[in-house]
Formats: sequence, C-alpha cells, structure tokens
Amino acid sequence: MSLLIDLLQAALLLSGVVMFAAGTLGLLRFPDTYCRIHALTKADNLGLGLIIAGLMLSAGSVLLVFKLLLIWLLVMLASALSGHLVAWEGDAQGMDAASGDLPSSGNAAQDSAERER
Amino acid sequence: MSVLLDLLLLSSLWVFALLTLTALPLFRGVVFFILLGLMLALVWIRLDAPDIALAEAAIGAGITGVLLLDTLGHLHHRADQESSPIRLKSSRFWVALISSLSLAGLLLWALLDTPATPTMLAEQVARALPNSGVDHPITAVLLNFRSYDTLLEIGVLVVAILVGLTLADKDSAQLSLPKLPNPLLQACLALLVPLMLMVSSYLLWAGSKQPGGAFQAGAVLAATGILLHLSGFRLTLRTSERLMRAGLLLGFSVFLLVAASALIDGQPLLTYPDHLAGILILIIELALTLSIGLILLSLFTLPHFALPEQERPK
Amino acid sequence: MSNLYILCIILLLITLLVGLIRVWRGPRSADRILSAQLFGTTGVAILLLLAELQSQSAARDAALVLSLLAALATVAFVSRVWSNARHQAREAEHEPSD
Repeated sequence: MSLLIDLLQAALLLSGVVMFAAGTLGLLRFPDTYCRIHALTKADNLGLGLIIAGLMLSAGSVLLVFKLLLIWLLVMLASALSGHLVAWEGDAQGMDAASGDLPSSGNAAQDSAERER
Repeated sequence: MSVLLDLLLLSSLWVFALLTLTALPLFRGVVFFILLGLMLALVWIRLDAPDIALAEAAIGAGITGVLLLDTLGHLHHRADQESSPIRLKSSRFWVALISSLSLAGLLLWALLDTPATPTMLAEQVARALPNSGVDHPITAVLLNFRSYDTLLEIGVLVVAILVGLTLADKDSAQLSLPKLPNPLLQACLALLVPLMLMVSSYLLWAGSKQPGGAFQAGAVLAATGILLHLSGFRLTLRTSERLMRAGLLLGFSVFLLVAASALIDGQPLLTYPDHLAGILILIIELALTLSIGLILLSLFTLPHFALPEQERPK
Repeated sequence: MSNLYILCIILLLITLLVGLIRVWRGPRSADRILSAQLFGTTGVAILLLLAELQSQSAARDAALVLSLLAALATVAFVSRVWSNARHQAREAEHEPSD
C-alpha cells in the first residue's frame, strides 16, 4: 500500500515538473505577449497543483493539506489576476498581437469580418 | 545528488546577481533584482535559516520590488532610464569604487578574524531560553538577549524615513497617479486583503515559538497597504501623514518605554523580569509590527507628501 | 524518497534558469514581468519541496507569504510603470507619435 502511495506521489511530482517545463517552453516559444499569458496562467498552475497534490499524499495532517490547498488557490488567484491585468492594460494600450513570427493574416481577416457583422 | 542541488543553487545565485548588476535597460535590472530576492529565499531555506527566508520573501516580494518599480514609474524621461557608461574621470565613480572595496575588505577581515575558540552561542541561547518568555530562539535573541540591536534597528528605520522626508519635494504635483479601475482587481482585493491581514497576525503570533515575528508581519502589513494604495484606495494626504508620524513614534517609544521601565526597578536598561518577559515581548512585538508596517508603507507613499506651499524651497 | 524531491527541485531550478532567456530578451517589459510571475510560481513549488525535503515547516510559511504577495509586483508594474507611460503618451499627444 505504501509502495503504491510512493509511486503515485512520484508520478504526480514528476508530471508537475513536466508541466513546469512545458510552461517555460511556452514562455520561450510563443510569439507574443498575449500567447505567453497562457504559459503563465495554465501550465504552471497545473504544474504547481500536481506537485501540491503529490505533497499532500505525505502531508500527514489535515491542517497541512488545507494549508497546501490555500497556497495553490492563492497562486492561481495571483497569476489569474496578473495575467488579466497585463492583457487588459495591453489591450487598452493597443498592444498588437502576434509580432510577426506567426502567419496571422488569415485570423486578422476573420476578425475584421466578425467585427463588421 | 544534494551536492548537485547546492551547486546549482549557488551558481544560479551568481547568475541572478551578475545579471542584476549588468542589465542595462533599468527595467530589466529591476526584474532580475526581484528574482534575485526569490532565489535568496530559496537559499536561506536550504541553509536552514527560515526566519531570514521569511523576511526575504515578504520584503523582497512585497516591498523592495514594488518600491523599485514605483521609482521607475517616477523616472519620467527616457534618458533617466538608460544608465550612463562608467566615466573614469568622474569623482563619483572613484568614491563608489573605494567605498565598495573598503566594505569588501572589512567583510573579508571580519571573516578571517573569527575567534579561535568557538563561543558555543547556540548552547548559551538554549540554556537561557526557558527564562526568556518565548520558545523560539531567534525571537528570544532578537527581543530579549540582544534587544539592544533590535531597538537600534528600529531607530535606523526612523532615520530612513526622516531622510526620505527630506527628499520628498518639488515634483509632487506630477505624482497624483491615476487609479487602476479594473473590476477583477477590486474583486481580488476583497479576498486578498483579509487573508493578508490574517497571515500578518499569524506570523506575529507564530514568532513566539517558530519562525516569524515583527519584521515579517510588519512587511506583510505594509504590503497590504501598498496593494490597497496601488489599486486606488488611498487615504488623504493629511491622514497618511498622521499615520506615518504615529508609526514613527509608536514602535520606538513603546520599546523605549519598556526598556526604561526596568530602570525604575533598579535593573539595567532592557532587562525584563522573568515572569513578565513573555507578555512584555508580545507588547513590543505588536507595537513593532504596526510601526514597521506603517514605516515601510510610508517609504512608498512618501513622494506624495507635498510640502505646504510656503515651505516649498524656491 | 528524498532523492525524488532533490531531482524535482533540480529540474525546477533548470526550468528557472532556462526561463531567464525570456526575461533577458523581453522584448516588451510586459513579457519580463510575466516571466517574473512565472518564476514566483516555480519558487513556491521549490519552497514546498524544500520544506518536505528538510522537514522545515517554516518553508511553507515562506511559500504562503510568497503566494500572497505574488500579484503585487505585476499590479505595481501595470499601475505605475506601464499605464504611467500611457498617460504621458496621452499628454504628449499633440506631438505625432509612431
């Protein structure tokens, strides 16, 4: 039984690390600021959630589980808030999406078509 | 394996520090500095110094980074943000070089000049701990055995504010910054602010038996104030000036009062009677927390204190 | 078990160091501050793992404080540095801007 729990913990922790790596990869590879917000607010929160879930298995007390849960919720709140703020302010400043390395012409045409409707 | 971890931590500390120093657009340097603080917190935990790690996390994430970003916001002209190249002729360069070299030399000397016989401070502290009124050795050292140092540290904070006050002038008119009318931010505040106050009092309370205490709690308190200030909940100038004065006065005077009250009993300065030590330390910590919170917050709101019209230097 | 924690911490530190490239390159200051936010999340994860590794429960308090204050830098950036630039740009609008 304890071996099973250990294996589960290892799997959770390692997949958490993989999600963090994916988030960093996204931060590096995504073409513009709006896209990079995804890396920040999705991959990493999932990664932290998986790591926290792994740590909960060996937490030992209910209070500790709640503390870990609180930390996760707080980090999610913080990154959701800051991702939103950056996107909001960027939009207000007219920051343009896709700064060149993605073919965005098709999307732009679609966008303008939608706007005309 | 753990050696690899330590090596990696150490080398990333170097990388972050070097990047902070050499980053040329100032904003880049500020971000690296924030990350350096994060790294330092990790290193302190690795070194089993959780008290410093807590302080670093609270002050690094909550105060210094925000202060530096705020400063960047104040630097209006683009020219200010580019750091100028080093000029060998300017006297400032030499003053900076000499002072930093002599500081490094002093630190090196202190490092080499460690006493030959170890003093076993940890054992002495552990032996005296039952009489100190608290269960956490760091708090006992800071507020009982070596409370002189802590008293002087508060004095240093007061001096820092006074220096800041002399710098706050002139441009105040430009500094009436717009609020941030973001609905999500307002909604998050309703969650974050009570939690921050709770964590602040938790840290204060925890200080008596585990890492925590007045500085950490005060820093979180100040961060709460800064968050409110940034999102547009601002006090009037008069109120915040009064609050700053109260903060300046409160911690230092309560500490001095308790310290001096020992004199009445014929004891030397800053000794607490054993049975009262716990409650006295709690009183001091409470006053210090409020005081440190208000002082750190004032460092942030200071530039907005306009001098009265007639006092303004022409 | 402790080897697993150390392995995870090392891997997370490596992702931190790789992520530094984005802070260095930018190109916008918004990108830099977003990476800093991401580093905060990673830092919380490392702190929690260190807490388990060294049975140092105060490290969880540090992680709690860090997660509480994580949004502060971004709020300060958006309200002070960035939108400030916009207001200045608006003030100087009679000059033709790019």
